[in-house]
Amino acid sequence: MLKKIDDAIYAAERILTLGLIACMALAVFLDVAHRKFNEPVGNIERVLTHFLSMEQATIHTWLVPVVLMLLTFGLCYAGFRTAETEPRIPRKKALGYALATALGMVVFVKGLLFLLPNGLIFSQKMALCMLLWVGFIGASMATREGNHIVFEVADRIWPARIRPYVKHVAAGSAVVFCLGLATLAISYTSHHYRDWADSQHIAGVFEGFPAPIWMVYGFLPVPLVIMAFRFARLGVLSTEIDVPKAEEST
Amino acid sequence: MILLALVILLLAMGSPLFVVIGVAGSFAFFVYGGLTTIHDQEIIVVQITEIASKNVFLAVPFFVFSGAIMSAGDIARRLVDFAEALVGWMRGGLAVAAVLACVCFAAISGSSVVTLIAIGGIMFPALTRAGYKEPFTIGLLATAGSLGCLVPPSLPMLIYSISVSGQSAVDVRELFLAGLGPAFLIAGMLSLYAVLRAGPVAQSQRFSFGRLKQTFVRGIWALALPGLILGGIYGRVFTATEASAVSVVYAVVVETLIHRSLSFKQLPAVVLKSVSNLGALMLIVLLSFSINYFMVEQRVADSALAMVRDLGLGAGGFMMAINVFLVVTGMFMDSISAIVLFTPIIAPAATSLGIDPLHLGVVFIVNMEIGYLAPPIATNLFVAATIFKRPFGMVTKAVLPTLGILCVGLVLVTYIPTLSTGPVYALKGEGFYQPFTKLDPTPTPTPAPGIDATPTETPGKTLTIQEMMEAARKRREEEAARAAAGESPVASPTPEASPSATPAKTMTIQEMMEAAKKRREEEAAASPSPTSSP
Repeated sequence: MLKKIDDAIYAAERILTLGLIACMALAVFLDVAHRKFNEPVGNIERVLTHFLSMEQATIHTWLVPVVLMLLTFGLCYAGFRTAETEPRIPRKKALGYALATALGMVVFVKGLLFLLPNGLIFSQKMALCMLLWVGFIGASMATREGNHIVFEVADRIWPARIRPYVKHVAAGSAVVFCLGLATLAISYTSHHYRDWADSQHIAGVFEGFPAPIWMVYGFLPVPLVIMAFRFARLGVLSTEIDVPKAEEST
Repeated sequence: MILLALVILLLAMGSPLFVVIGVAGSFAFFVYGGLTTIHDQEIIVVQITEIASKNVFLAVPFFVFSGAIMSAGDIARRLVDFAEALVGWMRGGLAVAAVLACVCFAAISGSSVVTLIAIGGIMFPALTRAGYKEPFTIGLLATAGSLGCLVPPSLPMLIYSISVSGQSAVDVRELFLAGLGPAFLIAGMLSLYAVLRAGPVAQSQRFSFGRLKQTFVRGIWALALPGLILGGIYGRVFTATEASAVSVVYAVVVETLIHRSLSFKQLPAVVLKSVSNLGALMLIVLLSFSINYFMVEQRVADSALAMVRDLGLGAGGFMMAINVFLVVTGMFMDSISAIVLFTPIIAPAATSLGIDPLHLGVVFIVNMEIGYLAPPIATNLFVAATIFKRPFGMVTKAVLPTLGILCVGLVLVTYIPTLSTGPVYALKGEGFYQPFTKLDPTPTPTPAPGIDATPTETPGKTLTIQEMMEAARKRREEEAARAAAGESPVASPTPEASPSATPAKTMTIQEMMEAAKKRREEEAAASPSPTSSP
């Protein structure tokens, strides 16, 4: 029964984590793309202005888009030509694909600038909040997978007879610690919640990312409690007391 | 003493490291910081949630994910082929190629262990088949794999830059650049060792320009990633954090669409595998931050500095003592935890002796690199013993010569700061040569924890959560007052509690909330539209 519950939680954790990571990476990437293509004077323009004695307006209006398009096209072409497909993409097809991809990228960038005129300025803050969740969920998954770092001296220093019980106590200490940390997290979140509620939702939100702080921090106790559950299930409540064979035979 | 006994007991019982660190932090706050209630102990959670204000931290998971995606593909094989084609023709060429491949792969994965697994897994059979002796091969690969610490984007460097602040703060971009010189130096020394010790194995192949070109084209997308990351960072196209997100997208595109060594279906499994490792690592780092904060609040660095002054070591002696301390620490501690725990003690003392924080950062990382190879807690040796299927004792013996080379490298990096900081200052136009002590020695600066926190006026008493909330509240009140007076608001670092102010003392949370409520009601009564903002 406990194992089935754990399996269900684990499956949910995997899905949630993947979604969060995809959101984090995409949000920060789109923010970079938006900022770079929204700059009044970009790096390419700076380089061209430095080396060419042409009017700034001509460079900005004509030359930069052409150079950008050529660069994008070149990269896409190189990508298609070196793509390890079976059979290899022939030159003419690669040219066509590269042109289509480059045009697609132009449309994508224009669409990005049009749909998000102010960009995703909150992206990094949002990603950091998500990182907190991902980190804690990851720690909870690590508990199930036995991935937490442990100095395995216990196997060497304790007599074989009491070793399994020591392991149970160690798992118990982890259960108590996780539950204690979850309690502290709940208590800390409650201050932010009160702050947010009492201020008619004006205070108690992140700067630059309009999410209530309590909502982000309020999630932390969940993976901590799951970790405690897992340490309890796999350590404290485990009936598999691995008494060494020599011991068993005696 | 009780704290030490508690830590040893938990370790001896086999408790997870994060529990040991968390309990130690909580106990330290309880006994030495006077934080005895549950509300007071919330300081641990405050320190954990502080990462929401440290943008650089975002680079850690992104580089972990991109490294995992690239490692799951066949990039390692492509890099090895290219390195072999480039230097395989010379005496000891295959061994030199292994070192070169390790450097290139470290620049992609950012991790010593991943580098050792990926390159070591391919090169160990190749080198032994070519006639290189096993101990030599194992030692070389385990040591070259540890270069992942020094070659950007290095995870220990990211953690180091997060752990230090105040006068000892370093820009992670500069730290990355500063790591390159020592990385090339150590790689060069290892290559030289490979050439000299090649023995009867003279050369594995003839040089062929055609093969070089072919392997270069096959590996170009892998070889371009370090260029993209470093070029983007130093070309001011994006920050280190943004570079990490770009590298994830790049890794996905290259591995799934160009190399086609991963399918979209396989991606989730690859990423999820690294999430679990990331979670285990993150919990340790986050809990270590509370001990970091405790030590800053207790002004442990001041005591350390006073001790250094009493001993009359001077900058050179201090660095030697630090090296000995960190090597010994690295033998018994996980490197990432050691960075978070000891930087707040060591960095301010070093800065006040005139040692460049960037230089110290690189020395710190080289020491941690040695820690990866120094038994008993030597991550790379465990990994090497597992992947090469050799006894731990044999691997430990095998690594001794290259560990010696690493120690020589450490001495050079320690006493020739130009190796690390030269390129950074040259790019800034401040000259390539850097003296050993550069800054004017300053009287005992105390670092700030986290982003901008400074210690309380009375050492021995740690800021409580109430005091932090009060400080944040005061800042908001000041901003509201400024706004009411028609002044432009001053940006505050975060709306969250930050221990940067030193309030007189301490209302309860309830009193604070009441005061804030009253203030808002007064503001609402004075003006129909509220002007306060978080």
